[in-house]
Amino acid sequence: MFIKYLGRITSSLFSDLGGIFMMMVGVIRSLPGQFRHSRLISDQMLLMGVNSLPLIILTSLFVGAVAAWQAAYQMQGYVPLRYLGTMVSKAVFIELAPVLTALVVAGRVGAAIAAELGTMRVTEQIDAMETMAIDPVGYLVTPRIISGLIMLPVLVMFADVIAILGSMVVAVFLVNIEPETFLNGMKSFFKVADVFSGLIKALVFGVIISSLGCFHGFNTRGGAQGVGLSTTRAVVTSSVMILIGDYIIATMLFSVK
Amino acid sequence: MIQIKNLHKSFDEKEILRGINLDIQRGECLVILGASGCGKSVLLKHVIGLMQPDSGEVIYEGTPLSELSKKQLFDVRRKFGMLFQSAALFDSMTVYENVSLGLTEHTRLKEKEKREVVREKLGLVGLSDTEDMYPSELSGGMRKRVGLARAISMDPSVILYDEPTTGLDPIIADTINDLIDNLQNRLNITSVVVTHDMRSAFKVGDRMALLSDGSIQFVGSPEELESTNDPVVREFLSHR
Repeated sequence: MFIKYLGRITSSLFSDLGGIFMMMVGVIRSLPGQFRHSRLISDQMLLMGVNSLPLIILTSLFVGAVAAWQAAYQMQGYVPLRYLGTMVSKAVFIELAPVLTALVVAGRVGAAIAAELGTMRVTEQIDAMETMAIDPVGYLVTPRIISGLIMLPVLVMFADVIAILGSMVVAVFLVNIEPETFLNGMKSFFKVADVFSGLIKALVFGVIISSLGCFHGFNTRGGAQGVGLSTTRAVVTSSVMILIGDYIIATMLFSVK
Repeated sequence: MIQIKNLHKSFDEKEILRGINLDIQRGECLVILGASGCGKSVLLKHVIGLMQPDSGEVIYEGTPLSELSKKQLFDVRRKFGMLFQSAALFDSMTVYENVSLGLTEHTRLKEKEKREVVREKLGLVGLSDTEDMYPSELSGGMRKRVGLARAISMDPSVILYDEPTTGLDPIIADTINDLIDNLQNRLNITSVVVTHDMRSAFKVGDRMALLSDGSIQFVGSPEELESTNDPVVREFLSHR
């Protein structure tokens, strides 16, 4: 029984990996023709980026605030609080902004992509596109992946700024640190590479969210229940892959001596 | 023009098509009859290469579809139009965008020229003033007609109709039948209509094929269908 279950899971995993690989091959093949789809790409950028901005601003503000408060709590008695800016900014740039922004976008955009493409699949709209000799991967998937690739780093840059502002508000008004002290702490150990590492993560997360949303949407079976299932799968697999990807990128970019 | 040779298709060990053999001739309107769920739509999706058979071939103008590359298959599909049972309109696009999508993707027509083509096709289906409407704002019959306008937007040589009158009241169904008939006569295209609506079948069909139990049980003219003593055909016709 267990062996059979394990076999089914393994077979499904390899089938999914094969499907994602084939989809990405299709995406790469369709890249040269994307200049005709600039409107589709800009529509998706609006949907993924601009429309996600209010949510990202809200979450980043509180992420920064709680990071400052927790860091201050852990530092007290051990590390001088003038280093609060250092600790918070490093945590925000390297880890918190890219990962939490990606998780929020996976919940909002990844789910929307899977639901939209899933509905198109079960209502035969994707079949209709194929009968019109239009490659659904080139028309539906590639513009979404390009948008994810561009917009997630942009959102993370906004998240960086807002989170630092949130942390500064907490540091100044609740921990009673002078703004100059907080900023000097930030500046004294600031590395541009830290910001870039967060943006590299954002690029990868953008591809993960959009490609998994598209993959699960494309492979929807059944009716409304199938669309719901695909949406859930898109969010769950994206979230897990973001955390696994985060670890892999961290080990590649940062060496611990 | 299109030959279907010994086509087999199964889903989860359930055999839906068991050796279909059928010739579709240029310029005719072939109606494929059969009870709901007998595999008519599956057969139609094989004709346009949306599904691949387990065995057997669909041959379009001498070339088996299975031997075509993706690009070649897309080139063949540009000669086809298909009206889906649910119309399958792109619900995030307006009627104009639905009908013009093929033109946008496959031609270099300017916006003004595309608009003229779309107006002409919408005029053919009697929906001239719906360009800016969304599919959700249309009735079932209007959606089918927009689907038909989209199917003929690229001037195909073959149109496949999947249950064109299902779910429509008799008056709207007759309008769709008239449209199929008119397009057939005016544009001289080859039509394949899949239906279980006998009224529609006799109205538009030049030849009839009956799909039952996974295979073609009868092929002939509407008159031959009515006069045959084949027990499977008689059983099917007795339920109309």
